[in-house]
Amino acid sequence: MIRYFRRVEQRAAELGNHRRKYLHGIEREGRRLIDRLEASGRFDRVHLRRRAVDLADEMSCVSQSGRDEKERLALLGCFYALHFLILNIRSIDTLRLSITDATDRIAVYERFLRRTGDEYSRLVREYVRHLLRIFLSGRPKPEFVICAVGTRIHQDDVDLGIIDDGTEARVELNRAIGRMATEMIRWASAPDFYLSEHVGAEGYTVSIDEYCSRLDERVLDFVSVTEILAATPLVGSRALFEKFSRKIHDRYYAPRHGSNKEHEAYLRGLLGEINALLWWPQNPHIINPKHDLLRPVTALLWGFRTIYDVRHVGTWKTFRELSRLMRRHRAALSRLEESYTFVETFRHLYQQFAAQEEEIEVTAPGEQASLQQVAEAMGYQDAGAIRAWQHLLVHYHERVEAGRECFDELVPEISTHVQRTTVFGPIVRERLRPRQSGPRINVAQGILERRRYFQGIKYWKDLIEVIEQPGSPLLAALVEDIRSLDEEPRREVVQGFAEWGSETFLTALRLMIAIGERRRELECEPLFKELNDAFLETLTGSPDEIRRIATVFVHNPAIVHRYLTHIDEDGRRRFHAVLAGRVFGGELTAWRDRLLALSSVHLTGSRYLMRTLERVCREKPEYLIDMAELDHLGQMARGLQAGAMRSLGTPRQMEALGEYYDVEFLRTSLSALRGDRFEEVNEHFSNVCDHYLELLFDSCKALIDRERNHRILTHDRLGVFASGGHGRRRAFQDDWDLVVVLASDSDELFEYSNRIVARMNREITKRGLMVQYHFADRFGALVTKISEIEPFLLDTPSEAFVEMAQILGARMVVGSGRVESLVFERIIERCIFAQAKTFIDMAIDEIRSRHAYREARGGWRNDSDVKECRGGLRDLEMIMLMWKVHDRLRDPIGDSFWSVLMERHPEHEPVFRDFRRANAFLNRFRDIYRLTVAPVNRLRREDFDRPASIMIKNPDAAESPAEQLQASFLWHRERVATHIDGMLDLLADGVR
Amino acid sequence: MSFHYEVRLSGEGGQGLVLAGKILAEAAAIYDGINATQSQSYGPEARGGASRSEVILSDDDIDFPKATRLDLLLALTQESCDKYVRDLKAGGLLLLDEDAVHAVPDGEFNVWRVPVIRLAKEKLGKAIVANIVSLGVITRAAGIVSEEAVRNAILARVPKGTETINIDAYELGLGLAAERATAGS
Repeated sequence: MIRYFRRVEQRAAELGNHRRKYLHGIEREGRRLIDRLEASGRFDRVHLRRRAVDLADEMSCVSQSGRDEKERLALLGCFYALHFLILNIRSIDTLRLSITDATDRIAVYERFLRRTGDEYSRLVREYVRHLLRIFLSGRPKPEFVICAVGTRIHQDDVDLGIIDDGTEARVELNRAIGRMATEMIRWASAPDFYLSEHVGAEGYTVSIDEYCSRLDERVLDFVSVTEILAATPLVGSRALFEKFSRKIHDRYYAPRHGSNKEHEAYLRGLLGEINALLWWPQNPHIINPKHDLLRPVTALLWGFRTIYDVRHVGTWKTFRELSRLMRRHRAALSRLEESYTFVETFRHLYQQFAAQEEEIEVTAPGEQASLQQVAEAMGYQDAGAIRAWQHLLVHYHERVEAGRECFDELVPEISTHVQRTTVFGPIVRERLRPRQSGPRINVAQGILERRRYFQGIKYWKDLIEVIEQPGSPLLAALVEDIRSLDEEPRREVVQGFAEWGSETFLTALRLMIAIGERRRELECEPLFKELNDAFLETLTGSPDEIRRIATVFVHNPAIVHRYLTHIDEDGRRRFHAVLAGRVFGGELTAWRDRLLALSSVHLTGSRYLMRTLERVCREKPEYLIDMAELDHLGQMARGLQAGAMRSLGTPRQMEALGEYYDVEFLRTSLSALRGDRFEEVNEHFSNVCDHYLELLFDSCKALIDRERNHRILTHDRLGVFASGGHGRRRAFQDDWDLVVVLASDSDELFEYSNRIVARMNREITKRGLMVQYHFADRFGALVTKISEIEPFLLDTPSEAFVEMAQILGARMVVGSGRVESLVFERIIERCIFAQAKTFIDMAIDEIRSRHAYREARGGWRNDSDVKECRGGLRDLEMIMLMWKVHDRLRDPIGDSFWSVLMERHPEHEPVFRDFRRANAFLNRFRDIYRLTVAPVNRLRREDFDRPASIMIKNPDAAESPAEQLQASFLWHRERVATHIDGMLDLLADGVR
Repeated sequence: MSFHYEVRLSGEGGQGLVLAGKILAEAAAIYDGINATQSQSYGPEARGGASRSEVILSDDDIDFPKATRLDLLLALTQESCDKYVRDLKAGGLLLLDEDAVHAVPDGEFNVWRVPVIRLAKEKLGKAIVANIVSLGVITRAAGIVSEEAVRNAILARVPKGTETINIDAYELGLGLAAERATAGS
């Protein structure tokens, strides 16, 4: 670098690597620039080391100093490069100076952005003007205007739109623009011709007539429209621009009365853009100012500009004008403006100091140094251990968050406007209030006909909300009108809706749900299936599609769940297959996997499991997102549990308790389906159930106390015992066996206890669980006094076998050690152990008569009842109970009970070991069957595929997984059956 | 002899294809004096997650920035391959990420299957530099822009502090292309 420019080079060193491009140009042409200016006597008219005084004149001097075209281009490029660097260095210097004592930093940022944007715009304008002067010199040219169509402050590229008169001379202009583009890539920011590429045909320029015919043909994407509306003349004919403005701009502003499809399509496009950006997957390691806030704000402002007819003013003036026009939203607009200014400043400075890229990987090497530069320029300083860049990032996220919150208030202004003025309004209204005469409009065809103009638009919330209303006449009319069509037009309509759906998944899913929910009432089951099949047919499983569906899921999990609930199994399988495609990006993959977790449950889950899923969806739909991350779901459950421990005895506490149970049920079910250790799953869930009952008891007690306005002390005399499956610590029960025992004869305590249990019962049944209260039938109350149980068991043992078995297998869930001891001593020991022989004989009778009965009904091999069959779970339970009575054991029966028996009776260890294995297998099979097929004990062979896919780990064996599962089922039962007669004989003989 | 060479870089958003296109265009225009234009998808289609960047290189004037008859197509996803392969002219080069694109279309063009994403991750620890690895492959495969020009353009585009990893990625790409060319010859 020659000495003359060394200071610029030194000062530019703090800028990002993009400075290299400009320094390269200065190094290559700087010497020649000075020489030529001196040679032509213009050196003192041109500023090369500081801001130009008269940019236009100085650029002319530079251009004229070149000896030929090539040299003139090089000198201009070098001059541009110098002034680009000077402009940015000086702007940042000014910012640093202004920020040091600023009380209102946002105002300083705004001034900085506006001034820098204006100066940059002037520099680009003069450069473009001088380039065109060279390229068009002496050539025929059309009337034309080159417009800047992007944001003034953005320097990473220059968005240009070029309008011409369409005459033949445009060939020369296009050639000149092409050459200009290459020069700009060489020396300046690269130009971008989005409008030319999307509106024009094989050229950089587009005439007004070409615009008109293109816009009449079909909707223009909102990015193009925004560029059209943002167009500001840089170089060329003002008159042409005015004409363009009149003929094209007006199309996109709100009409005084009625509808305007171009305006509506633009607003729908913007609303779709806002939703898409606000729903974009956030990566914790990457920030992207454009996605995070700038683009949604730009879209919002353009929407308001077209509604309120705010024309040709910049961003900050627009904010002020809107604050005047929308007084009730002034506060939100003000907050949004501040956030916008902050984030735009951040982005601009990042691009200056680090790289002209949108995504910032905060943890990448070098980024923190660049962010520190940004922070310091924005007025942040290190404070103790906190670095300025860390402070800045916290503020960045706060500003983005605050800005995004404003959208909740402001977006409805646009959506309501769309709803009020939509071109779909008349057809909907007319069909709902049919005219007395004349042809009737077919709603389905009418909507599709109007929709044709709106290709690619994703925002249809207003229309779908009318369809979703309870008993919506529009939906009824839509269904009726599709069905009324002949086959060919009906197929076309179905296809039309399916293709529409593939553009906007949220709308498609909501439409399918709306029809699905009323398909019986509207008698349109076949149409529902036809529509869904056609919709699924349009899906290709591309990464983009998966991203869009996953985005819908993360922001509307209940919608996807409800859709999957309504469609048939084949549809669910096809939907799942689409989601299983390849995707890119960690965050997106995580989103997709979460959606797959929900979809998998819909594919494999039984109604029994879906019932709980449905409740979770109703109560806490956001939890559906965490179905792939069971630990996270567990944290949520713990949070609910903690919440349920507060505000004792309030309706909210009851709700929180129920939600806690449901979320834990869901989590445990998913854990079982994932193949986690069966013993742990059972242990965990039975602890959850115990905890639920404990909290429920406390809560109901507090509630009854409050109702009675009086607290009663139970003196540790009330105990709630779980028996049956829950007593044996088995998860996934659809009923609970409870024995509620009162160790007192007080009438007041008895009435009080019954009220508590009745209240508990009401809450438990809301979870879809039926509660069986043993002794309740016999004694006529939910709570049973010990003094009632004792004579019953002692005096009529032959009638009390079932109750004895229940209380023997019971385990205390709520109550004190005192009541537990009382029950053991007064009931178990005194009434059952004391009659051990009687109990064991009754149990042996029960087993033998059951075996005989079932044998007579079809034989052992055909008996598929996992509980009652010979060698089934009932046999194993009875054996445990008999041994418990025989050995007078206090240990609860369950998985661990077999170990107790093996230790006490080592001579029978091989048999107990077989029993233990069979008990574990049969219980697991029964649980998985419940979760994947149905909560029944009779396991149908034809339904073994789903449980086999989870339980069988050798899918490549000669036998199918279902066949392997069937074989295991028979084998374990056979092992039990082989031993059982010998075991019964042994027990009948009193063992010893 | 004059030339006109059209390149399209296609894949998913976040793969850095727009940056790669800008680097290639600037390398040609600034350092090698070749005429170049570059365009990219940033409209609604880019919001869809797909990404496309086009570069036209010529020693003549370039009348339109949009590539229509491709000499080289880079496809880092199956979707982009399927979508754009029809624009590849006979004798052109289809450059695929071999792990991302499984169904290789038939046509009168040459196909190079290179594991750019996997190698970026394995050799450099970052899949994000797959764009620069691809740029290395393209530079050598196309032979239009000099290797030094692309190296300079990379240094002028990447964030401060990431120069080394990006240059390593570029060298990796050049090496892959050399291996591929040797294997093919």
